[in-house]
Amino acid sequence: MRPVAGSLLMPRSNVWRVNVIDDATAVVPLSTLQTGAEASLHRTELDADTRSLLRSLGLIDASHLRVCKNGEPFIIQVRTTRIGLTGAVAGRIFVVANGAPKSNGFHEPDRAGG
Amino acid sequence: MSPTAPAAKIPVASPGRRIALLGNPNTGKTTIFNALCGVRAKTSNFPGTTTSIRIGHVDIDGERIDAVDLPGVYDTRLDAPEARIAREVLSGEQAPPPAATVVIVDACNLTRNLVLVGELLAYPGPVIVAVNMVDLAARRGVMVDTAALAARIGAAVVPTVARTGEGLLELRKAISHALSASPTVPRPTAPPLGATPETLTTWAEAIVADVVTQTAGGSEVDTATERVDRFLTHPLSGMLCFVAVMGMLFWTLFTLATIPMDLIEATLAGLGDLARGQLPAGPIRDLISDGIVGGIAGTVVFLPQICLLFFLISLLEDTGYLARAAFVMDRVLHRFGLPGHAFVPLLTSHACALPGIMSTKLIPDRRDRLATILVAPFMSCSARLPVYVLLTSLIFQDRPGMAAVVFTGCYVLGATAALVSAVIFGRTMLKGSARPMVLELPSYKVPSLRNAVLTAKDQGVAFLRTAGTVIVAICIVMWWLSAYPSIEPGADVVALRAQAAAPGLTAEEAEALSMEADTRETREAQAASFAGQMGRIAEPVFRPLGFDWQLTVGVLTSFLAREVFVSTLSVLVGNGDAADVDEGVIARIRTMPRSDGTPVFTPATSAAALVFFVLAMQCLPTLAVTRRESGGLKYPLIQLGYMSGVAYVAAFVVRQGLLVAGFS
Repeated sequence: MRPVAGSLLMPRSNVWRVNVIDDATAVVPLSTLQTGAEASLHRTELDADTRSLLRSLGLIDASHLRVCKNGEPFIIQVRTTRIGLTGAVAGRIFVVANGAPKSNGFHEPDRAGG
Repeated sequence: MSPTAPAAKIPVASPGRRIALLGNPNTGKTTIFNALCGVRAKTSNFPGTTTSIRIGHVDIDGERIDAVDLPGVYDTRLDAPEARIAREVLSGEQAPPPAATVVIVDACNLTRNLVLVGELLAYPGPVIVAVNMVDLAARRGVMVDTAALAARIGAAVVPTVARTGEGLLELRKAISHALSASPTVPRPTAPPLGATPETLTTWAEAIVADVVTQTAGGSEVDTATERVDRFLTHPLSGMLCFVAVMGMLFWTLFTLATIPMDLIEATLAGLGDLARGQLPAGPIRDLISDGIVGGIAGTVVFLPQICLLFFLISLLEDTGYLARAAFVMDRVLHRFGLPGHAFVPLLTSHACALPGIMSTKLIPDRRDRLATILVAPFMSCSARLPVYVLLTSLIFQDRPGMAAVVFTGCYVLGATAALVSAVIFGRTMLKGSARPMVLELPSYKVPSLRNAVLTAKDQGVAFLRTAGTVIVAICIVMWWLSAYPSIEPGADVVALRAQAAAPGLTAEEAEALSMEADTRETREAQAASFAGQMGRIAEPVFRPLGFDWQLTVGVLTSFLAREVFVSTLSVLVGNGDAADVDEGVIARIRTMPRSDGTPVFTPATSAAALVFFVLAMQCLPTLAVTRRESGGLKYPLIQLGYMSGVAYVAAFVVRQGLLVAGFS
């Protein structure tokens, strides 16, 4: 995967990003967030098809998202797109809750995928 | 994906006069296609796939241009049939690439929609962007500067409101201009070839920042939609709403479809009578009046249910409710390896498996779609109803309460078999569970009646053109097997007719004798027919279930349609070929003797027959539709083999169990 335009100014190492997130200890499964919470995508642990579908719906690395409904289904909003997920899928999406350091915007597709 | 052109200079494709319409789902693409092409569009499966595309014609400057309505996609690089079709059409793998591509984008959701536009700019040929639903966006405080957008992406941009037709004239002009444009179009800001979603999103966000203004008071948070979503997807209120909506849908389907169905049956029966009255007696007359007219009746009679179902589904889909309902049912169906979307096909199959299987188009994943197609015919359709009535009445004489319980049990048994079979298929030939549900929840909208009517028409025509022709052929073959070889009336029939014609009888007595002669003649003809002969040959196969040759004939003839079982037995006990079952006929069927004089319908045999009909794939038209929707013979053959096997084993177990328990 190619880095995004303008990302030359940012560190290229994934390790850097993971370290920062881990230090912040703010990575949580999306399913643990309450309605109204806001977060940024950190990584997903989903099959390739589901990951690709989520990316095509706009849930890319570091995307800002808002929880519209917690439960089954789990509903999030990414920009102006409302996405319904089963609770199982929400449990495999890991996010940085609002206030924690955000990801740098580029990553290896098999790690961050979303 | 195989676009080969550099991003900066896009060479226009060879001048094939064809345009393609593409867009994310729920952007109003179909409404724009319908407005451009009118009612003449045709739906057909894309070659080599089971995904439908629509092809119509649009008049541009007096020239007839083909328009291809591609399936809605979020990303042409996804590993999904819809995305593969879009890639093949756009890159010209199967035919010359389109002379221009119209991308319909949602003005309320511009960033995500522009990601697809960014991808398409890498393909050859001019791109026209229709920014649809600008009225809805304006109400939400979102204003799109389409001129600035056109300048940024290097493509024509037209604001539209497809629902009211606003901007469609400008869209035609833009298409006309694109088709007559110079062979190269500079696109200085197009994203690089093969750009990732992240790159494309960054590109789209930069453009949106420049061309979209959000007025004060406008907000991305739609609290009304969120409230409705919470209500419609709540475990309790969501399920209650689902039951109410589906109840209304099927009540409408059952109530309204019966009117045209009765009309079709009456009209074609009249046509058959007319042919019988006008043509000289002989095989040609029988072929036309019984075979061909009967075959057409057996096909066209499904049309009202199919058209009405797709009309109602289109309305529901347009409102945005179906996406929410899919989540409500996913909680139940996912445990059995089926997706939430499967609820419409499975419920519809209670009316008839044909529209049920056709409605599996709603299911995005092929594995999930095939699993639903394979198990849908287990649901008790309306054609099983007369068979259940007959057999439960035979088993529970004078015990209507027990008959009602068993009658309901038949429905439960069918549904249980469907769900258990879905689990079995999920662990064997269709390995894996249903794909985890991830769906865009579109905005709630007022549905388009025009779209619903055109969808119903398209599906009806598609059914007649593909499955319909096969079904007519099957009906004619089954009629021939039941009618030939024709035999001369037996001596007993001739004697009865002579008695009826003899002087000194009252009119009633003569008529009774005449009817008895007709009945015997039909019965003898049935027994001597190819179907009758096949019944005798196949009898040993069904003997373990307690079936004699007559019951076996009933099973074989009912492959055409299950309800034929009742009319076949009715004929065999001497009730003409009437399908209506009154008490007198039931009594005669109950005492119908085997060759050795013992009754055929003992409790154990009747129960075995009932279980067999609940579970067996006794419907050739369904197999024809499965073939069409699955794209080959493999799945209908599996369906036939699996369901027949399950039905046979279950019927055998039930009969043996009852015999062991002391029932005869």
